[in-house]
Amino acid sequence: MSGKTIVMTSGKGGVGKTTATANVGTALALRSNRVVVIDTDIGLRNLDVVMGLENRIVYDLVDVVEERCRIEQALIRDKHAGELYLVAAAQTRDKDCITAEQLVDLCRRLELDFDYVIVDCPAGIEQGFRNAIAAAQEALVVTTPEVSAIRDADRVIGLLHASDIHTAKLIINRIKPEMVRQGDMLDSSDVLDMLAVDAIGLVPSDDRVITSTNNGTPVVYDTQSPSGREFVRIAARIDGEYLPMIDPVEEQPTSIMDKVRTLMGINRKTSAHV
Amino acid sequence: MWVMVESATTDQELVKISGRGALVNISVDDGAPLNLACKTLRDRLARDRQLYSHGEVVVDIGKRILSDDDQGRIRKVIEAESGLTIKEFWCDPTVLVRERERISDLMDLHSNVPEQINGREVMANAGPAAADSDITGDDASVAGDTPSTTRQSVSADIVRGTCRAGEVLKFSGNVVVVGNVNPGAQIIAQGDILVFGALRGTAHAGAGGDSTAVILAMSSAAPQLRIGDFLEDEDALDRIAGRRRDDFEGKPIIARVQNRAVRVSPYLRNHSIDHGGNPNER
Repeated sequence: MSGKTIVMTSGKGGVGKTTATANVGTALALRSNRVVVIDTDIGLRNLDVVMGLENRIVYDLVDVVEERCRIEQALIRDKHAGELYLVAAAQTRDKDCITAEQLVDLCRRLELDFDYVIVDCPAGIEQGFRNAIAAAQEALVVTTPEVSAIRDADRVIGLLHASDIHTAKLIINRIKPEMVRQGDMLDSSDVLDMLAVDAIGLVPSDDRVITSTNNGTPVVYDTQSPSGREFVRIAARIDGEYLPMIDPVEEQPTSIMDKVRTLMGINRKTSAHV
Repeated sequence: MWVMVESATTDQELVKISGRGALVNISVDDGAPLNLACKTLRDRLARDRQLYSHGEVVVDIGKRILSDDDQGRIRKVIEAESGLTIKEFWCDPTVLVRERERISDLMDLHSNVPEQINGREVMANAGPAAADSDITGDDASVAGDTPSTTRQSVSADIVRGTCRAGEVLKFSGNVVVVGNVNPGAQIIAQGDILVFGALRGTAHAGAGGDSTAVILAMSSAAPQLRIGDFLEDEDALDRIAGRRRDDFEGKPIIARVQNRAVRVSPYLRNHSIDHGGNPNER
């Protein structure tokens, strides 16, 4: 088995990298993949909290690279999602205590055993970022429809190009359809036009994410959650399934049209659900 | 009381040197290849070195358009071979009409122009191209140096693709960007900047101090446009600050210096690009 390493990055902090990592990782595992998620935000770890695995950490990423334990000992198995594992970040160290080569070596070894290795990148473009992207063959760039997040995403896409990652795909997070309709928020097509990359997911803003983060249960388990459903679709797209992009802005007002389409046999929404 | 020094050799056609008091006038013949003119000038200055031991000189380059590098070559010759200090370069005002045509040709991408454009991919942080040619070398004359052509052709670097935040692209001449310039990117050129896409980053044309340079873009939401040593005036900058500039609704724009400030206006078809008077007087 030879899997691939995907880095989840954004430049700007607080746009939803960790949430996206937890949800996409969980959704991929629920599709019967063997998945490992690695938190490289050393010193500011929180992927373990979002996944509800905080109390199971014995060994972390730094323990692995400094050879205080074997890789298997640092792999924390998820409670629900089958073959989903977490490598937690160390909380008491900083980004400079691992090197890009060490992380590349770890990911190469994990790829032998897993379908997907997902690296949760820290905010910023310093050493932590350079470590995280060094091992990746593919990148998912998370942004929100705000000019500051878009500018940072643009910078990051440029840096990914410079590191020979030319297949960056964009997740636009926290789209508020109502604000977009009123012209108070950038349309996702504006964002994609400016960044000149393909989207892999358009995630609506969703308060259920806050609840699920606090509970340590990824929102993909909540079938009523619009953002959870989109993360499921993102996982399917990563897995090679073709699902048309659904813009949350168009989704609600055209629901009657969708029913008409369904009746006519153009079954867009039903086929989009996983 | 003044002394006239006239050359009696065959060099007369290429370089004329005349003096009046402490002011010396050098005029270079329009048809002369620049290499030959520089060589002649050097020989003449060297031969009569004692005549030109001090004073100011005005260099008349006639109908020629010189790049900064070529201007530097002449300057180097004069400074090396005489004690003269250069007061100014002067050129025939009619060449400015040709400058206009040059820009509209670039915009129209006239059929034979692309062959004359020296295109290359430019990486971020590319430094200015080194151009320190030896005037005694027999290098073939550059385009625009050929006496037979009626129109000067210019070269430009071409950048393909999106210029992203954090990239700083520098050019020693003109640049054509085929793609967007995103917010946070910087394009700096000593010549003109033409963007076949949306200009949303910072652009600085005429970065060597040439305020006749222009910035053209298919659309612009740039936070700041600089030409030579000038910015837009305070009112314009206040208007743009913190907001997206869409003064011209996504239509092509041209920016140039007027009244010591950068002015942005819609770029219309057959727009006359007024390079405004003698560039050496700015």
